[in-house]
Amino acid sequence: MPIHEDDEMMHAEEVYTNASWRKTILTLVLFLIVAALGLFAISIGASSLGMSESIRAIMAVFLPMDDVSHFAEVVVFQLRLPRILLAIITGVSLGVAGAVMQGVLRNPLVSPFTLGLSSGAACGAALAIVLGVGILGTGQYIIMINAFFFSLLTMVVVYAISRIRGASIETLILAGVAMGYLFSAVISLLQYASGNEQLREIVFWLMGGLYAAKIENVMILIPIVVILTMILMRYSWDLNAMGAGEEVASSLGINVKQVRMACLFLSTVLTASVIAFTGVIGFIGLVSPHICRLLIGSDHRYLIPWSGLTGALLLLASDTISRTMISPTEIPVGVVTSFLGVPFFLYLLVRRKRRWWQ
Amino acid sequence: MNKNTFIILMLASLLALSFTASGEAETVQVVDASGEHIDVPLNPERIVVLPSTPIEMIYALGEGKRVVGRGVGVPPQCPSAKDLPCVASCSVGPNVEAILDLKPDLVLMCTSNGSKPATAVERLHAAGIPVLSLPSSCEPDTLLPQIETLGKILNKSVEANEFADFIEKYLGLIEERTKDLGPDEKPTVYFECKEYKTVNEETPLQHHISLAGGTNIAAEQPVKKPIVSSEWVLETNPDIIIAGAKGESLTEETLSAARDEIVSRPGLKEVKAVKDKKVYIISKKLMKGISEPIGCLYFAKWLHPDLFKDIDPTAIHKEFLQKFFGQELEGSYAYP
Amino acid sequence: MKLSVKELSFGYGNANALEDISLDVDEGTIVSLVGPNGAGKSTLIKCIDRILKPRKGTVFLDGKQAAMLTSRDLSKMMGYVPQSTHEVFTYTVFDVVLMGRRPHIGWRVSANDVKIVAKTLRFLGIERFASRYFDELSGGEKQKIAMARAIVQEPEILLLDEPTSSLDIRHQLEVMNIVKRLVLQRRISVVMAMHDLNLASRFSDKVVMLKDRGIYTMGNPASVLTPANIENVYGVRSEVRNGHMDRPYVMPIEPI
Repeated sequence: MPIHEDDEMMHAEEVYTNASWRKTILTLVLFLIVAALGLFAISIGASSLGMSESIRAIMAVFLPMDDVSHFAEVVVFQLRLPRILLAIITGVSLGVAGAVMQGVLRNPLVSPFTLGLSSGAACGAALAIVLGVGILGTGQYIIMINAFFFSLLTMVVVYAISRIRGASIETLILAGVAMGYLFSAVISLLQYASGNEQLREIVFWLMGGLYAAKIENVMILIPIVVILTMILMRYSWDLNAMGAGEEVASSLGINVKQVRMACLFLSTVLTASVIAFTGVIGFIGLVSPHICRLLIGSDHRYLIPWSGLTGALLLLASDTISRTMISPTEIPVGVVTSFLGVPFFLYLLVRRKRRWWQ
Repeated sequence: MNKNTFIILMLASLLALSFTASGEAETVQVVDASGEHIDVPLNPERIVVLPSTPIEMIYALGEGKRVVGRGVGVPPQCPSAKDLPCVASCSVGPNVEAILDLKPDLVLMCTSNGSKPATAVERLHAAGIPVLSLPSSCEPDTLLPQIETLGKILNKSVEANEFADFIEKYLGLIEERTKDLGPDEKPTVYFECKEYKTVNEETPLQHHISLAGGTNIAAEQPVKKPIVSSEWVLETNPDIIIAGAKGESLTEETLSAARDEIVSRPGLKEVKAVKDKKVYIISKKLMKGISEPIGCLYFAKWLHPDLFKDIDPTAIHKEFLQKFFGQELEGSYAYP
Repeated sequence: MKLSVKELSFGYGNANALEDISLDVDEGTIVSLVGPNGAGKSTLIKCIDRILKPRKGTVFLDGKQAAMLTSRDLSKMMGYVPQSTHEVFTYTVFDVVLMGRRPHIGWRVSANDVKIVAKTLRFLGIERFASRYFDELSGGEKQKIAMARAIVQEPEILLLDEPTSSLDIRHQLEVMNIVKRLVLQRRISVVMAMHDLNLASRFSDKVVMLKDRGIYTMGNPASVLTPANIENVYGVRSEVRNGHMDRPYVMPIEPI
């Protein structure tokens, strides 16, 4: 732990450069932690396949090894790997979207949830479940596509409403909250009107989960999430400046409305793509940026990757617990996320120990 | 104030009078879900039936016209029941006002009807409408007693016996042939409601599987309908996979598509059931209500093809529909 | 850089907030905008920086139309310091000031950017706060940091919206001395909205008095800050004396 008194004697350049280095290194460390947790997660599961066997199966990809059983290969690469990748990619996209949305709207309570995006997606899914064709295979895609487009639609409506009154942030957030309530009402209505079978499926979707991970889906999501995250990170400076207020941002040469629209839509696409596959996974988008602000500060150049990685860490840890705790039965991942994340978050809030990167 | 009170009293006594009058109608004693003997009117003309299975039974007894209101579930075997007014919802339960509006002589409810059936029962009682609670139709053992009860109420004991006999015959036949199987002779079964969502021993499906002479691999899971880990299914390596398909009118294509999806799933490709081509799809319509015994026949045939060589579930299903519902068998219910 | 505003009007809805404003700011001078609340001082500053889009009229920078510049190029020429800064999420002082480099950098911060920020912090005497959190500081310190952010933009024109309004007299003088030094050392032109007539008098080369959305009068402090003008614009009876360095000193007496 460095001693703060030193700061007084160092020149500001040094202080800043050192802090930047630490933050960069800590970002790499966090990345390695996510990777390590991924490796750990891939080596445990409901079957009797133990850690050493799993690791050998992974190593067999790089080194010639003959004694890896077919069973181990199937479990590790076809079952666990897609799911772990989905957990990471979902966590990243929710964390990144949450950080960007909070930054661009300068409001710490904003998340894909509060802006009505999750409710929109859920409403789309519920409509597909209740009114759409409900056959096992094709039905799944109808639900996903519906969820995706309803989520986008929510943002379009919310943004359009806010544009009528000069695109003020408060209008936008309130419109989002209102749309969220409207969609929740539609969901309630659909639940009320639907039969047992559909009701259960809606509840299911509302709980979200990663158990249905398929490598094809993950392969669609990875480029989307990576590209969108990189684009959003290019807005880091604009987001930092917008934190000082619209007028200052504008005087720094930022087209505030354009940046806000771009960031909101990109992060909406980011969340909508993943929740279409996973169902509603709440909490991460809200809390991951906060955890990271407490740990690494508000500079979006670090906050965005940190929030993404923390989201990944949180979701991966939760999902690993959810699939191993009372295996083979799985616990809904949202439950574990909250049980795991809320105490950690509250602990950080209460301790409020800032600047531990310095 | 006084005047109002007086009017209310007058109305109340009038109401009370009219109910005593109807109370004089002939009654019959039956057993309700909680095992109590209660009196219900004999030969009721207007019946509101909230659970769907008793509607099917009443139709099978040829008295469908007496049903004037239904719950949410539309009984699969009685398409005409779809047009009946729906007076209850899954999430909230019976709508007492709507039920009263139908002026029923009798309301049949189910213990699992909605979240607050007790309040509805109280209110219906207060309004003088007799209510009979039937056991949840999800319990297979209760099918036959329910048919008997309905036969009594509708004064259709002969038809009820005939109907019950048909069901009993096949359920008995399955039990007879599978009861002496040793544990080794019982194939392991993985049943799937939805991707990796299965059932434990507290569900009616457990009854199907064990009656048909199989072992449910998820019987001991702590959750009724748990989502289970794919790798666990792979490792448990079930002999047979049966998946439920939902939908109003299923065709062979939709069922076969559902089967293809399961067979091609990475986690299941390696499983014995898939390798042995023992993956079956069954319509959810055959897993609940009055058609449940038909579902059991399919299960039995799939689990023990040798023991049930002489049994053709499709033919029995066809006969069942023709005989009791006057319908032809349309669409697909099971695959392959 | 010379700044000229020609026939500028601005309005919200049907009402005009500014009508036909024309004024010149010569290179290396300080111009104060004074006038009662709602006269349009802040609005004029925001219109000059294109934070608000004027309805009519043009802003010229050395004879070139500012509207033809990209907002990034404009931000390299003009720095804006708001009346108060409220940060929802807290940044360190260094990060806050570094944001001022936004017009000059892509994504990576160069050693030069860091040097400029550090130099500016030293120039303002706030280097010791570099790693402190912005929201932990006092009003006077915050004001200096907000100015530092505008200074690292390396602008040729600095726009200040009531830079001294919530500060104690020591901080007021410190802030104004910074402005003075910038003008002397870097030939920066300054336009600032001011409530305090005496500070305006003490530090300005030119005072612009606004009333009812338009310019009432302008000129050197002595010619503008007269009892008659103050009475007409503010509705206040006052005495004006000769103060320090022959600048007029205004003593307000009572509202009329």
